[in-house]
Amino acid sequence: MKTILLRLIHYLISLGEFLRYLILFLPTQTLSFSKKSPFSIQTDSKNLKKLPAHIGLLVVEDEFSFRDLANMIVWSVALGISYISVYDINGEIKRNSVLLQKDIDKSKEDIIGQDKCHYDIQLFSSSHPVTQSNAGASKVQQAKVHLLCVEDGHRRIVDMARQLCHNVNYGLLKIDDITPSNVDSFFQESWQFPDPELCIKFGSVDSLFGYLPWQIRLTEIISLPSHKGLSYKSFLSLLVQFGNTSQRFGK
Amino acid sequence: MSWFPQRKQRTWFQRACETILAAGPIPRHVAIIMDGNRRFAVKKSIAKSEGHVKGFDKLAETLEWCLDLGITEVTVYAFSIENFKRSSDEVTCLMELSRQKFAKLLQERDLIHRHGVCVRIIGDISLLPRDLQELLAEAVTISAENKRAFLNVCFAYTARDDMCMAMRELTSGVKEGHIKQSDISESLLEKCLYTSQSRNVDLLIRTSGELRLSDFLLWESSFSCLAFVKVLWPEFSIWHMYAAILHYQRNKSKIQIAQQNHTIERERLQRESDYRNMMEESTLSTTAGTSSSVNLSSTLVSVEAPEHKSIQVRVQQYASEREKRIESFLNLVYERRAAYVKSLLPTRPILMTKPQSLLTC
Repeated sequence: MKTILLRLIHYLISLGEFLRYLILFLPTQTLSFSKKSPFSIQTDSKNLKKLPAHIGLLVVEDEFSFRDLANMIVWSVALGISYISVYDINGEIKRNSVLLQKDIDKSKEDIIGQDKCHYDIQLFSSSHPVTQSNAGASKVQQAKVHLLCVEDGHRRIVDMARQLCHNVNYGLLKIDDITPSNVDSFFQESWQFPDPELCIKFGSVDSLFGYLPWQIRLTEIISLPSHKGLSYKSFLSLLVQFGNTSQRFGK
Repeated sequence: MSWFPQRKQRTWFQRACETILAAGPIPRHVAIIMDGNRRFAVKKSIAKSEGHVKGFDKLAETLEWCLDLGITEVTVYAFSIENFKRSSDEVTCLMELSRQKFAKLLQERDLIHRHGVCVRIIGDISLLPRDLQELLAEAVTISAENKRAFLNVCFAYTARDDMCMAMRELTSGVKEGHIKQSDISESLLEKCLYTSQSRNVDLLIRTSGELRLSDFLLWESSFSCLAFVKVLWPEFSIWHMYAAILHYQRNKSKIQIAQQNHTIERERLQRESDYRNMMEESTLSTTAGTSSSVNLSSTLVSVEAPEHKSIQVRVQQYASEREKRIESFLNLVYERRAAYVKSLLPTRPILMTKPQSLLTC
């Protein structure tokens, strides 16, 4: 009896959330198919109070839409974000980086159009790590997209522990030098990206599923029910929300 | 206010909700970021310190709700290392509040034992004033044997600091030869954290509408259900608690699957690493062996007997040696930590002091 009641409550909440999703998200999705010029995206970017240097896209859904992910990546780049990480626990996106690359090229064509050569979007993952290479022409805006999965979470912290242990044993480091700020700079060095300031989590389950446990310290975590069919407008509204938050850093 | 406030009778409706909730899975370990005391004080135009006092009262109340619901472990973020950056007035005030509350807790030791609550302090307490360290050490010591419920108070804590402490512990363990570098794994690092004695965090609640973890349980909360609640901490009510548990129940099955997969993957990695290390060791020892006994090699065929043992057996042997190594290393670590807490205990016989005067800051 009690279980049935509890189930009923759960179903009612699910139904309520589904309806809320329909009302809040569907209209924006169907209406805004108008093309955005890069110029108007840049104006939007100027109107934001702050922009994350690194945005994390965390997909907690069973099905992936590479086209929508590609759109979000290109919007982010056009807004001026230079680091993007895309995470799914099983590494589905990481394994299909070729497909994502293709979709990014298509999205670039659609969203940025003739200015597309001004933007250089590179994909990286543990099998294709960042190489210190071309500084690039100053006109080209570079963006680095890191494809991550659960292996890039706790395990990288363990790798770091082993590395530090090795360095201490070979006299390259003192034990007392293992401090949060030093270890953080080692991580930044090895990852070649700053901590994500904003993480958008897609999916109905509210959990981080192993996303970058070291780097998630001060990340704003915003949840959306799905990444499929996300419009530019709703994406921008997330960044506006992010722009309005203020952090006190313990003070 | 006491740690064990006078029990308020639940309304029949609350009791009904509780029994319905109890028909589903109840989180066993809930972690709470009690955010919003100062904003509450501003909102109600009362002194900041008063806001913190209200925050503590809410904590005592929440602990009671948790006990009633069957939540056996609660971890709260009381004071972050970053909080030392606040104005010295406020820091002194928070320390004084903690002093009073822990002194009170020590007075209420009968109630602690009656409820079977074990208090643990999570964090680098060496950063705190000495007298507060003593109080904390005493609270930990007197309640150490209790097993029914666990209250973890994060004091002078940040998750990154915790991870670094664990890395130091491992590094010195390797340096002193207790463990090998290759023994360092997710589960070993986890066992060196301050939270090593805790079970997995099932539900993490943050109040005041902020959507971040702020350096709290970063490692431990990777597979926790997150509940960001809009209200300020002193306004947190039993209904918010019920809603958070409902939220947990709806998320639980998917998180559990992910967590199980993670555990399986860890075990697979461990087996792989055992295999690799065993092979490395045996090639090392055979090359060393052949070089020293090169003349006898023809006569001592029997030396190669271990080679006939199946690889599986040797991997198992390696694994059990590794486990032993790790166990004795961890024993050392935990003994040292316990000894540190003991060393902080005041030498004088513990007096039952009268409750100190009201907060004066």
